[in-house]
Amino acid sequence: MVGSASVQLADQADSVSKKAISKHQTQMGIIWRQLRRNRAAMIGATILLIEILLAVAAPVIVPFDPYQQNPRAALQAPSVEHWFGTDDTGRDLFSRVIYGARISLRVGLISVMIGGCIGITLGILAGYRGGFVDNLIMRTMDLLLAFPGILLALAIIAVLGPGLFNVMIAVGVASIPVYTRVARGSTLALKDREFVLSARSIGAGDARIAMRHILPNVLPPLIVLATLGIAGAILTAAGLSFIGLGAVPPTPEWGAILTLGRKYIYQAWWYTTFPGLAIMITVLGINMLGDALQDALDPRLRR
Amino acid sequence: MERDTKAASIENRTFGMMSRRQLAGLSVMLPALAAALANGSVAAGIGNRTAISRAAMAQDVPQGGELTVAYNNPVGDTLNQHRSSSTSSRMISRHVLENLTWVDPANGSVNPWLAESWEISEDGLEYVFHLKQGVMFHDGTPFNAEAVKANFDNTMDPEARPGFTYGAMGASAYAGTEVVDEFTVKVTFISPHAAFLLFLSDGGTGIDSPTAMAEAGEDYGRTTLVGSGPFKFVEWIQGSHVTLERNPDYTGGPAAFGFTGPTPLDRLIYRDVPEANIRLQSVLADEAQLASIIPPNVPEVQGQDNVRVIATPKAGTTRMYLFNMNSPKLSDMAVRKAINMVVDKEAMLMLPGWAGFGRPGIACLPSNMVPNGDLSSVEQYDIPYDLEGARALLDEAGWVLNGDIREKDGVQLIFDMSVMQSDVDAGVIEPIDGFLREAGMQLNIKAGDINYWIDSFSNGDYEMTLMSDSGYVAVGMVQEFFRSGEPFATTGLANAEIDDLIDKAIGAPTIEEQWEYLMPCIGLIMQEVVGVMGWESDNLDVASNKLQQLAYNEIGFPWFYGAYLEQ
Amino acid sequence: MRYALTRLVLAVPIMFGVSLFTFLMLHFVPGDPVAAMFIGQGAAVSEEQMDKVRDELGLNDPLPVQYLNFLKNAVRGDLGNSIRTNEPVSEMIMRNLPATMQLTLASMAFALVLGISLGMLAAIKRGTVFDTAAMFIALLGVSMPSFWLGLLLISVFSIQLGWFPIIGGSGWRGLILPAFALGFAASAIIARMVRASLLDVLRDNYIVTARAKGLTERRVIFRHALRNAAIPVLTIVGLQFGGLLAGAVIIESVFTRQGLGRMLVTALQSRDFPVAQGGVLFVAIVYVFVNLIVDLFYGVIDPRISVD
Repeated sequence: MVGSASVQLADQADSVSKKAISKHQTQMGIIWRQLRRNRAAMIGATILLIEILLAVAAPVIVPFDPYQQNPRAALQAPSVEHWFGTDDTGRDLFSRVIYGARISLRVGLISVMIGGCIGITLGILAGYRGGFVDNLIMRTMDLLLAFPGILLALAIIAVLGPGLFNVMIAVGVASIPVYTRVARGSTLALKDREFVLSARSIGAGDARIAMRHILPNVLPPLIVLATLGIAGAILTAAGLSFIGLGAVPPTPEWGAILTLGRKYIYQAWWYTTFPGLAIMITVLGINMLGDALQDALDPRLRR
Repeated sequence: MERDTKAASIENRTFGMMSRRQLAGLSVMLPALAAALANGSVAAGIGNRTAISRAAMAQDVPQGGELTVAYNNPVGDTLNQHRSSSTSSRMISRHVLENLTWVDPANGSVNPWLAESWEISEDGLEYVFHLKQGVMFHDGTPFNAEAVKANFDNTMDPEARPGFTYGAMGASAYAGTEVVDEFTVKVTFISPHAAFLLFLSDGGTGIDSPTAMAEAGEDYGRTTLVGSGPFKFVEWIQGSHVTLERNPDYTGGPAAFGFTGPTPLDRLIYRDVPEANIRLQSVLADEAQLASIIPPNVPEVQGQDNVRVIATPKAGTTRMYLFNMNSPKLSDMAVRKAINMVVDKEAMLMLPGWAGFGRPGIACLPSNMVPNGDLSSVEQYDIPYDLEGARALLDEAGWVLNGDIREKDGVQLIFDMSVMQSDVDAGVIEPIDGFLREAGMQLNIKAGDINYWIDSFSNGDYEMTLMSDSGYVAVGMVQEFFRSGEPFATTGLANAEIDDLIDKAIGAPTIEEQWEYLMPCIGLIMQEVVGVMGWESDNLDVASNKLQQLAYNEIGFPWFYGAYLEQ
Repeated sequence: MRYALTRLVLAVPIMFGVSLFTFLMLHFVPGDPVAAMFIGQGAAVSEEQMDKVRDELGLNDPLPVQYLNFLKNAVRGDLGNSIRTNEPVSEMIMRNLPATMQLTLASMAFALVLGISLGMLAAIKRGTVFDTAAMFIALLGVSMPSFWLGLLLISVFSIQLGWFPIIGGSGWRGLILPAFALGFAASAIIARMVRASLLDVLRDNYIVTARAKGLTERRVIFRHALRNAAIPVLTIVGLQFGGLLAGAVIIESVFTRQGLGRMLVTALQSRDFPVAQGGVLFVAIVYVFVNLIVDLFYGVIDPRISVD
């Protein structure tokens, strides 16, 4: 009896929060319409879409094996055969840059997922639990924030050793505090809201409340943060590759290609130009989309 | 003078304007030249050009001027040679300090400098040096037997941190130094230290002023450096530059060098410039007059008539792609041989990472490091390029293609190659991956900073690596990598016969005798196929044509005593 | 004032945390500084010889002892000596600090001038081609890898045109290109922030009132709006300051400048732990204090923020 009553109550609480969510879904609709009207957003989205398509279809598109060396064709300028020229081992740079999209996008996404998942979980935990847990988590975050971004990543890589996956971990971990802070702030604002209180009053578990009631409602600002975070992660990873701590050849990561090419910058301009442009265009596209998302989510900026 | 200009123009013609292929042709010539110049008793890095231009050194040259030299991290750790472990630091201190002996890089002969003469006991355990009189350190302290003893005592101080010079003085073989009279000093050893006289010519064993050392204490080599040489120390700003100035009162200079008295240059500045490309550009823009460069930069010098590239065979080991034979894949001799067969060293040297410089490696020591440049007794163990043969050999050994990669019992022929990022950047790692792919093998390149690499190497946490060392005492370098039990001997080579030969070579009282053990030992090491003996490398410098009478020391670093700038 | 003191007191445990965190993290960095010192000198080295050096450097002490020694000395301002050069770390920091400060301040000045101009232009001419262009430049700024920009700048202005020195020129001429490369990204962020806050503030009541009172748009912007837009800009400046310090790590290498960034990278690469430890700690402390000062400034600039 008691059991069924509480289930019923829990359903009620869920429906309240579903209302909140559905309100949130109509909000998503508004945001979508906002985005569609925003030219920058559409340009950014198009750039990204093309890039994702290129990344997925890379094996079909590229004219050469990106790992295949050809010593007789080293450092050739762009031509009909090699659109972006060749590198110092005679590999086709167009093929490598296209393959690089797969790697850079993956680096961006995975780093953000690492930082975002841990950061948001800790943020909700801190905001929801309060007290000692909150203090512990937030003081740790203060600590991490005391190290300027790349310095922390630099030290983490020094511990883990170089390599692409370790770069993702380092960049991800360095970004945790930002997500934690934002998630905690939103959680604090939500936790005394009606639908959360009623869910709790009928005995819904903390985990259930966090997952079903809080998470969906703190997510929108975090999505903006994550979008911009992908761009930042791609840049940081390239920077780490540049000082020799990132992706390792022959992996066609853009930062790594740039690093290999910089000693030829005066003989073979194409070697650094194309991967550099690829980084810039990708980051530009993501930033345009992220900015537009931010505008759309911030009601005060709506026209 | 006439020969000097001729030498300079050779440098110009050969390196300034030739195509890459022509360059390669020229550098293949180098070992022959080096061999011709090498003296049987010594294995020194041979600066053949140095020899030619030095023979015609002129005293009557333009005076003054400031010379800027661009190197990557030129000091490394400290200028205090009693504590330093850095090779390039010694090239700087060589200008401020004078040594007891002077080894002529042209022929390896040992000549008097601060020591006018010496006697060595039959058993090679006692050295008596008769010192030059009337020499003053820059701070006015007189040079004498006490000063020599103070220096050697400092180096061998059991309480202090040992540096390169500790080994140069014989390490545990060293017994002590005593003052016989004011200008006579005696050094004794417990066991023979055959390379002692060679080492006494090294920048590391230069004699510092004992008063200055005592006064500066821990700061010696950082805030001050006082010797008796042609340049005086002015300042060292870490991460930026070291400045030296001319010692106007200098009267020394090894007689055999052919130049005496004050050096022409007013100031000598070593700039710390980490990027090879920027170093080269700084010489092209005349912001520096000499810089170390890497082969990929060489084509940029082509067509420039105001600079020249100087290639000096590197004193040290061959640059070897070593195997870790403890790896199950590489414990298979067929795999080790096959890897050797797929690497086309001649083609490799034409790639941008080499730009035609260097010579295909034959053994663990390059030809410029062995008596008479003669590697013929071990050449038979070099495995020639044979791609088809490699494929057949692997098939036969059961490593069969599955897709792109060969495998056996589920183990794929993909090798972890642990290297320094700088080597990857220099373009000398990826081509090996290219060669391996031709025969169904691959590299998994793991690159990091120097510590990551040394760590994985000394812990045996690698399957392949690119290894080399610089130095000019052959036995030490063979011992370092191939005598089982040594901290850096991690290839998994354990051959009692090899160990025994190395030990015998170490115990030999003279260098000639050392080679009687060392050459067969190298032969045995090569038969074990411990790696791909990549290439015999050259140190590359680019120099402004204004810089003349440039000499090189025995480890292949420029020595600016006697050099001058044309106006 | 009490607020300031509280914040200051709160910074102390963070400093301890930072020191412990730095110490532990560096301790887990694989690699033996001593082995690195000894390889490559052309002769065999004995294990005893290396162990003696480890002893001398205190690397064989138990971990807590090493940390306590470090802390004890650090409180007195002694951060130990470099393993490689034996120079006191505090002296190294002080020697490298001016160059890095010059670079950071120059980049910040550049970022502020460019950022505020672009941001104001965009806000005032909102929706016009100026807005689009200014914001596109800002987007380029945050999307361009700083090292790539640095390489391009050297290549064009130092090597092709010969306007600036190639190897770490001293004085202001050597400062311009690195400050540009480093400050461009920060200027972009500032521009966007200025634009957003100006637009925000321009809708606020008191601005509307000011307008209603008949003040010219220019006066409104300069007198009122800009002052209030200063708060978020200041926050960003504080945050970017740390970013610039970190960015110096890469830019100093690209432009061959000496400074804290290069000191840190070199120290990490050579496993010169005392230098890495002292350097990271120092940068973290500076960063925390800059943010503290920014926090305290809020009150001065915006009386609406209560400083309780």
